[in-house]
Amino acid sequence: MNIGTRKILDRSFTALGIGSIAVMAMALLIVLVPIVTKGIGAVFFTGTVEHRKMLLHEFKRGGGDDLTSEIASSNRYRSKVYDMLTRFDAELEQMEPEKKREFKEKYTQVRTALQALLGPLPGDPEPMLTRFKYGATRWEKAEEKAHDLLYESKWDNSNPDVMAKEYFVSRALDFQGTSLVQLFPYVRENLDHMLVPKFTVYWGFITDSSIDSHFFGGIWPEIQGTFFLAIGAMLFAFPLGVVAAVYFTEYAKPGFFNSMLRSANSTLAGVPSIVFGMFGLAFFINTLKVSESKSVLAGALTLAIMILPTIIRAAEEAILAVPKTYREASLSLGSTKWNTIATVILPAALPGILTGGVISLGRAAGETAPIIFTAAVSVGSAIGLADVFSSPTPALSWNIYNLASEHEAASQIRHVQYGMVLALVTIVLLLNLSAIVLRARISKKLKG
Amino acid sequence: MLMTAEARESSQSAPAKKATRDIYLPPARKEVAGGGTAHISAKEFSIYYGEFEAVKKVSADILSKYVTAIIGPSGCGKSTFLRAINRMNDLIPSCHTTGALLFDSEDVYGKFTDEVLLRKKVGMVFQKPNPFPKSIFDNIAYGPRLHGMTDKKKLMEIVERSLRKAAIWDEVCDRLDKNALGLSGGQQQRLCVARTLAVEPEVLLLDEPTSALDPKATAKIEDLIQELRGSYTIMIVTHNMQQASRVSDSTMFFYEGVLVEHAPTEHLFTNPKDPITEDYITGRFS
Amino acid sequence: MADESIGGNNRTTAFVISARRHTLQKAAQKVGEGLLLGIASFVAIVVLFIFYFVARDAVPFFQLRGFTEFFTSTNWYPADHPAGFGALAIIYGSLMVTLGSALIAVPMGVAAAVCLSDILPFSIRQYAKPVIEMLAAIPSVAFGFFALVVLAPLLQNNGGPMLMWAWWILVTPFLLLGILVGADLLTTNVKDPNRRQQLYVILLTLFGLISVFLLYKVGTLLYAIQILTGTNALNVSIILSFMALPTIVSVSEDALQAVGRDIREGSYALGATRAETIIKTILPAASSGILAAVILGIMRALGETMVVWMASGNSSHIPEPWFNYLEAIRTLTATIAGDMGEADQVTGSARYHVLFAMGLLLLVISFISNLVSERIVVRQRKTLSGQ
Repeated sequence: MNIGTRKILDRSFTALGIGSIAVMAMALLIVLVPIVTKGIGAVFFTGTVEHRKMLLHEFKRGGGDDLTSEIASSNRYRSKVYDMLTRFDAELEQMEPEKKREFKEKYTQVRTALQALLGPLPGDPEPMLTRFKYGATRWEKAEEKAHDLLYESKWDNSNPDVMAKEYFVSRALDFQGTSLVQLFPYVRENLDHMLVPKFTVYWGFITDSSIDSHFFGGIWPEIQGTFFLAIGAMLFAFPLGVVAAVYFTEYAKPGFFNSMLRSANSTLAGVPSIVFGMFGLAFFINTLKVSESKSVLAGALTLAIMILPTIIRAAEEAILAVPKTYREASLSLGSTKWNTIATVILPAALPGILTGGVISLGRAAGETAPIIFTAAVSVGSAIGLADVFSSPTPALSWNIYNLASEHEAASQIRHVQYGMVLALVTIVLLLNLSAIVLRARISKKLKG
Repeated sequence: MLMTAEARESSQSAPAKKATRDIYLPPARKEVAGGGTAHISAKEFSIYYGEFEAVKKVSADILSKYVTAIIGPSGCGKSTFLRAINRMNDLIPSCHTTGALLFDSEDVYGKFTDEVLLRKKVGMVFQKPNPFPKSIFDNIAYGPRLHGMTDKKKLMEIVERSLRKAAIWDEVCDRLDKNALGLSGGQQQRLCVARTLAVEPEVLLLDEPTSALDPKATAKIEDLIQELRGSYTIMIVTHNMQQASRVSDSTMFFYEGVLVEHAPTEHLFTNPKDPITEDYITGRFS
Repeated sequence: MADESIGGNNRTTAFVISARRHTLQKAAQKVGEGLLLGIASFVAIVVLFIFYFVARDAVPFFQLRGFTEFFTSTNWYPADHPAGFGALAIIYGSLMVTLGSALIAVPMGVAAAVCLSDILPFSIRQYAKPVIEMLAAIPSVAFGFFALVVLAPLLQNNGGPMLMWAWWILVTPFLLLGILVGADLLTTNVKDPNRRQQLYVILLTLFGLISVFLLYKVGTLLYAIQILTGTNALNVSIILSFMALPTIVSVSEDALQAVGRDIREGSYALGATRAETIIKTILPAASSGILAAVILGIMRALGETMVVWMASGNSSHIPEPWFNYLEAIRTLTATIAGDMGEADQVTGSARYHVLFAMGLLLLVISFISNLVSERIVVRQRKTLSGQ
């Protein structure tokens, strides 16, 4: 091969390597950017008067004269819509049975869309579920619902080779010749008067409990649950892990037994997370009966054995990194082995151990599979500290799955899902960042 | 260290030769009051690493309150012998001993010897300065705290006393709470001496204490050894013969694990009895 | 501990202790060490327990239904009467996405590790490592959410064009390289420089035309593809590969660093380019470590639950044809996670035990891979230090 080609191969090899890292960085961005931008929308968004009404009635917050005048103003515009409905009701009564049937179905669709937009219409019975007590609380949702009101979606299945295409037909056309036809342009022009959108900062998203399966309210129970589980796991795993690491580095002599123990450690590190969950269920709950059914305790124990190998490894590395000379100096001054470990080696290794601990904390906070069967529930209020031994708890990781995959109205509460993901990712990344900062501090401290 | 060609020839032919050394011998040293007894005694003492005999049947008496230097080429067992005295060799699993090593007539390797208590009486300074990553105060106070002292005032007194004895008090008195690793190499080594002095040992073992230091710091350490002479029994391992002749009263020469010669320093360097000794100090091998 | 105060410098023999004190001390030491050993053994005990409890609840399944059905039938109807417990399609699904993610992650990971250890200057390395660590830190459920809510709709709505662009972006550089190298190799034996030049240009044009034709033809084929469901094996494979990447990169990088400077310097001194040094000398020397890294990464992909549960489509069937990644599949982990809630109500039934059978299968595979990867690492350490 001539030298030119070899050089080109060399350059492209370099490019391949750099390209891989660039792709990873891009993947990180691609995953994080939507989460951050849409997650922020859970706290910072354009909210309607319905949102403020909800806050007032459900959380006893806000209110005041501003809100009262807003409600009054929006009601003025809405009353026209209600009048049109009443008028059409009367018209409907007058119609012949087949025409009535024809219109009734479409009219019901219009009424449903209006309820989603404005809340219960006059004359409607009091809704059972809180989610139906208010109209659209977020402006973007309101625009969607308005679109549903103004247009009907139909599917074009004419071309057999291609997937069906969606297209929209104006509903006004259906009501040509009736009084209701004015409803549609009126709604389109006065939507903002009826809903009074304003830029809202809803910190309650982080501090409130959720209402009616996360339709309204916040995610505090989940955040607290995640904290309880993660810290609980560390309470068990950290002391055990550090002591085990001290044994492996300071006391274990090379031999069959100790190499078996080391193998056990890496085996434990490789066990799939769902198997930890199964074990937690079969052992902690069904056999040891640490609690009758799911509980924070069982979940924390399961998470603890999952993160134990990581803590042991990190602690081992940190202890081995302490220079042997410190050991010698301490022993020569008349210190026992145990005293040397406690007063010289562990303090010197502490930053490294803490780094490993913080990273493991992040891992425990983010894992889902171990807590599915042992600790997590989908709905609930924030549990008290005294209940950790017996009650399960909502948690961010589990509820992200639940809201996104199993919730009956998953597409309606996307903003809540994004908010949860952002909260979880923020917690984990903050922990990891502080670990990185800690690690930078170590080298400074040990080098004076 | 320079001998003219004729002088060498003449010394080789004549049997009772006198080795001429072009070095400065200090004036006659002062007698030390209360010293001169056998503080440490080795009787047919051998040290093995597994099968290998690193120190071979050494018999010697180390005189109290004087400075004894141990010289010899690399690998001759001098550091091994030194480390046996405060049982630092215990850190090496394959190391074991035969014969007796007595400290104040008690067997250092006896069955009921507590090496922790032994090390309180026999302190060591290592080749590479190794202060703890703690403050200067905490470094010095480490030893006394080990042995139960908690009184802050007393600790401060001990710290000041030890730092003064190590001739470093003036340099660090205003930054006792700063990290010890911020000191220069020479200062760190003197700090290690102070740290060792703080537990009030009887014996100081110095394992090549200046080999990692620059000449100025080396000179300071050597001055320090002179000051401490008379208060402590000092043993210093060094590969620098001039240093040995400058600071020590008595010198042991090791070669391949054997104690070839043990004599007062002046005698060993001006009139060595063994030909190997002479070869070593004239630089034939190092 | 020391009875005398610090002040005294007595010449008493205070380092020899009584026989009683000596035995007490030794006993206390032994007890302390035993305690430490006990705590350290906790890890081994946990491993044993995990194996025992999973196996204990898995064995009844095989006693009830035997081995053949589980491993050879695709009839997965655990809730029906009569129930079917054929897990072949599910096992196939797990293997499929593991293989898919390995195909993406292994070349990328090794290339990135090589880049980090040999190519990048130190300043850029400082920034590259946190990127990889952050990628590793993102929780799996966040990846699963992304796969379900962002990637799946993208694939479903724009499947064809995305595949076409992916084909073009990935294949073009390699084709370009291939053309240059191929033309060069085929003309090296021609002696006359002028003729060689002519032949080189002719070959270049020929290969170029073929490549363009190939790119275009396959591109249009791909463009026309309709992805019926965005939650499929391809989606999962892509996401899993990014989850396995950090493991592969960091362990491979360690293996590459362990190959010392001397080997590198020897190769450069002989006039090899950097790529040649890496490919011909360093990679072979580090191959065991890299193999261990790959095994660890693959195990991460195989054991992953949330991403596959949310975005694989959860359809227990072997795709048609067998390599069609655009269809929905189901994995072992997702089945366990999904079915356990209901199966737990009927403890004692085959439905409950079959999930533990799957768990046992996963556990055994991970245990064996771990052993293999450990032996490889130990073997490499021996060869590197023995030479």
